[in-house]
Amino acid sequence: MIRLLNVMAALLVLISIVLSPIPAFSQSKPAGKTVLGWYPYGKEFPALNSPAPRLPNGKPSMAGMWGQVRRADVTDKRVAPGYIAELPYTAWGKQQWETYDPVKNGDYAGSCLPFGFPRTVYGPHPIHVVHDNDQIVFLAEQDTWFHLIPTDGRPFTKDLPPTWWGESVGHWDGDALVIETVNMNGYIKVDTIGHPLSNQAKITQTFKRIDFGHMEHTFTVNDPKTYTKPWTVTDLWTVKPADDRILEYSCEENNEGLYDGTIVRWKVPKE
Amino acid sequence: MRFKLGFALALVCAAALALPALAHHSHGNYEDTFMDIQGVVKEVHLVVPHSWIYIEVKDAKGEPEMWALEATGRTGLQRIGVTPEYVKPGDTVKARCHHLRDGSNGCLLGFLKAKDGTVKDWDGNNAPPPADF
Repeated sequence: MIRLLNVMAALLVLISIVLSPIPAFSQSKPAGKTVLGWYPYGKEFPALNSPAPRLPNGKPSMAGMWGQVRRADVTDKRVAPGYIAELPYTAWGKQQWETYDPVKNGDYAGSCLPFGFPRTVYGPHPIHVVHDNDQIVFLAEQDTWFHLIPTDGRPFTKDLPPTWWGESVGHWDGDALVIETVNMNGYIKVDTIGHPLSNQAKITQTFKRIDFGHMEHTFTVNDPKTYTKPWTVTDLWTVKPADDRILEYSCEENNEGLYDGTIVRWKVPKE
Repeated sequence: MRFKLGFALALVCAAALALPALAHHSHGNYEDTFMDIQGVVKEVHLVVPHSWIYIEVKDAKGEPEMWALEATGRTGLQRIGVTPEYVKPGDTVKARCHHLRDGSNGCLLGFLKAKDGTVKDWDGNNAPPPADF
């Protein structure tokens, strides 16, 4: 009798183990556990090729910490596919490009002024994207800048003063998020090497989340003052490892040359 | 020395990478080619926008001279495991860097071989260590 009870007890234990809830993460293909990084603490980090996460509204979420394609020069074919081989300058644009001399005249980035969306995206520092149904927020490590973009269907604001980052709004084209940016101040450059933009520029970016670990980014410039026709650069962004995170970045921290005069202070150009 | 460093910083503050094609606009005061240099660390400044290491190098006559090595900012270095403990004053290090065009004692990293023998890309490109370094 005792032996029978023991057998029954063992069976009950076995059944309870088999029927107990299985943690969801054990069914995934974890690529590593999060250690105080960008990914939610305690959750398993999905495989990079696992399906793209979705927003509550069913659209793909672009959320995550991303490593962009660093393009210090968007025409440099050595960096990655998707570059623009030749830029279609207008006479004004060509003059802007050929006279850009940051050593002699200073550069706004050397004065720790905002890079704007293009130069931040093409910079070397990662970006953490926060995304919900109504807005997407780019948290850039570069100079700890942020850019909030409504995706709730609102139009551009009328009569806003121009700014370094301009104003952006987003909308969906199928599963692609389209972000349009206007009202930039005309001082920002596309990239580190200094390809120009005017205050008439409109930048259109598309974001397509291919899977958990990858996102296609297109960057289109429509700036009739600077370029004779629109041009596009295409990049593949890769999600950063789970234990990476955005770090504080203060350009002013050690920019001593700006104060001792060895960096030429940038000034608003005379048009 | 400070003047030289400041001048260098003026040119690179807007740039975080040393792609040779960018020499015209961003790193124009550094040579495109690499040189190797070895010395004893005197100061380490892990800061943004760019970090600096000062090393004492023996010149051709055996006399000590100070060199300034420029690197990417603290965040980029932290991301590849560079901490204040990784390179300290007193350590002997070897650098592969771009010499200042004016010939003064400044150099843009490049790679740095630390006291423990590990080599990292201090330019923030996560480039693999060169086989001959």
